[in-house]
Amino acid sequence: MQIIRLANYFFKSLVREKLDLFWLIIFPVILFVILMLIFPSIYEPKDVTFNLTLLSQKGTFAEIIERVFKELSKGENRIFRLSLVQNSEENLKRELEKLKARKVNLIVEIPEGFDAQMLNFFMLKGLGVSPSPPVINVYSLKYDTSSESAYLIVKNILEKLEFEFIRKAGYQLRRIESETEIVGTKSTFSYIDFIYPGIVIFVIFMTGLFGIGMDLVWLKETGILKRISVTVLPKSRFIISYIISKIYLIIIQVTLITLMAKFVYKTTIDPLSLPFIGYTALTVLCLSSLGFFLASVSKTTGSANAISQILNFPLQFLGGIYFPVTGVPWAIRWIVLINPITYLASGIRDALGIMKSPYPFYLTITVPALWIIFCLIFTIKRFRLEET
Amino acid sequence: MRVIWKLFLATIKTFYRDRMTFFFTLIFPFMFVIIFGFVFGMGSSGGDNKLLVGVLSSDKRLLEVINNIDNLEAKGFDSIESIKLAIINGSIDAGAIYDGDKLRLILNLTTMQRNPFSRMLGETIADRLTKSNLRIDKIMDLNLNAIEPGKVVTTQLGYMIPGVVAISIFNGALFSMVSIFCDYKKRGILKRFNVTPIRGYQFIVGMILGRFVVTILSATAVLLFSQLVFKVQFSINWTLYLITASTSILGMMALGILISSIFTEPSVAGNVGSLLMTVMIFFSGVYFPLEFLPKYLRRIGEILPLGYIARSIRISTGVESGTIAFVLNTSLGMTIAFFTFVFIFGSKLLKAE
Repeated sequence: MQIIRLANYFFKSLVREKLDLFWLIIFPVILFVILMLIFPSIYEPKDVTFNLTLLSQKGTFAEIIERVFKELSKGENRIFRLSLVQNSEENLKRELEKLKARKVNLIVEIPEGFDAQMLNFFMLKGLGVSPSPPVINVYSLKYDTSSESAYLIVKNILEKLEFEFIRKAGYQLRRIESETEIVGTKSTFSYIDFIYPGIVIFVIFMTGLFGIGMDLVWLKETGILKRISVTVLPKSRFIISYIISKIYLIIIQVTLITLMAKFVYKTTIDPLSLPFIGYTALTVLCLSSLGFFLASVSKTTGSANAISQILNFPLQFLGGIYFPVTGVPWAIRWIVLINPITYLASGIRDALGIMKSPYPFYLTITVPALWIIFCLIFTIKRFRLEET
Repeated sequence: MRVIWKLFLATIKTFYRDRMTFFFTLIFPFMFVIIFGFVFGMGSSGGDNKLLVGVLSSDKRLLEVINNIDNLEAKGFDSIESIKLAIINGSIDAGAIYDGDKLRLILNLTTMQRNPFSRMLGETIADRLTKSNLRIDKIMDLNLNAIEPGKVVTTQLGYMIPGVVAISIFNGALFSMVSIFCDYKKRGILKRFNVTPIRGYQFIVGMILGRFVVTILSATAVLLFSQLVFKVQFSINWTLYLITASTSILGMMALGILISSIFTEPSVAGNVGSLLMTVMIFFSGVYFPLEFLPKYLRRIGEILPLGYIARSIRISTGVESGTIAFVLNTSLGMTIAFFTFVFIFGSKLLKAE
């Protein structure tokens, strides 16, 4: 009873701290909304229209290309905003300036003599010779995602157009169909299913680092811990009450995120499923231990804040919470590999069937477990040392 | 003048003692360069754009077809399972399997986040395969000319670094004003200054000058250090760079002064600054492309000053072409914002004491 009363007291003092409440409860919700606004558009772009310049020539084949692009630039769901320009050196120079200024996403240049080259190509092909194909110049802008994407689309359209030319030249063909599989995920990838467990890990991480780590250092710095140690309250009861108060907080955080994921973003994940509850419990244990570890190595809130900020961003971003972190060079891969969040995020997603884990099941349990053991042993030793 | 000089020196010293400001101005932007540069910038082949595609070693024709496609490189594997495993582990970007009827492109999410349209590659490979049945490789050859956006040939990371410098400026300038006008106020330092012969303007000039120099040095250190570590090329127009960096610092200081005058509690003001920083990081286009976002979100990005600062620094460092007028207009806007906010809120903040 005393434990619960004390836990309630700790929780009430936390609730009175408006700033802590903001960072531990409101901020994760804001971040969740921001991520849901940005990443689904990156994975599945919709309603994107590219500015395309076609530097054209007169001629049958050139006109077919022109007609195709004109068709794709009509209607509400058009792919391109087409600008048709007669091909000349001066016009190309002007359009390149527009490309660099990002007013145009891509330039397609049909060179002079394109029609003649095309006819020549089919004629030689008919004679059994392998001629080099006519060239169409495409100008894209480096490091510009729109430009690079527009190039991929144009390339795809022209590849399809080639079939029309092949048919027109009298060839019989059977087109090979293609299908895409996103490896390790459900057939229809949904970013909300991917990010929801990630955000749950994030809120627990925030509570571990700032709600426990920073808070304990503050209790230590202000002498409250010392005062508690001279009371009749056994240390074990104090620690259990303290942990229970943080579990109250985590329950509120996870419930809020779950309600948003379920009712606003319509996730298909069942938050009451055993794998979800199991991995969430492991996350709570692991990241709370990290908080205790932080409290044991920091003497002042200033140093605790600095350490937690240094740990916060790399562990968050390189743990695969927001996006998968695979295929990165060794310069940062080692952080990915020693990071407990990597295994927690991979394990929970794999168990829920959202995304296959690059690590075997036993590692997704043992690495966080090793972190728990290390952090707790270190913390107990350190606190004992401080007492003596 | 002596008073201002003394205050200036004191401010520089306190900056390097203040771990949080030091972290957010120098370490934080650099940490993000490394994380986002590696995660979003490079494929498994280590290059900027080339995709490594896993194919069954027995399928010689598919291997050849893929190797003939620009920006793709085929790698042989013994089984479909080993291809999938390599994709999950990130050692290749995609896989292609042809069963004699259909072509299956296997992708991972990392490839999709690097290029949102990469799922179209399946059609490209299938079309090439169809044509190879007719012994035609291609009828039209697409000659891609990828134009460098600036004066120098740089890398994805090189293009990102000026944006990171902009974030360094944002953090350094904004948080320094929050620290001076909220933290100093709360700790009674401003009150103590008020009873000394130091005038209000001397205090403001001395402090701002100190923080200004520290921020410009830190931002330039991030730029030069990144250049050194990642071996990226810049063609820095120092005059333009210094104009951009200086005025941007002033502009972001203005924002800091505005926040400090609205939220007088230092922790609240600091947290508002952090929240603003989070929004800017996501919506200013420094780390994530904005092109695919819905229109209303792109509009948000357009009104955030960080995007303008980042672009001006990119122009000054030669990684993006743009008019000097753009840089100067941005600089003018920042300077006007600074003087307006200092005159309106600076004196108010001191008078309140």
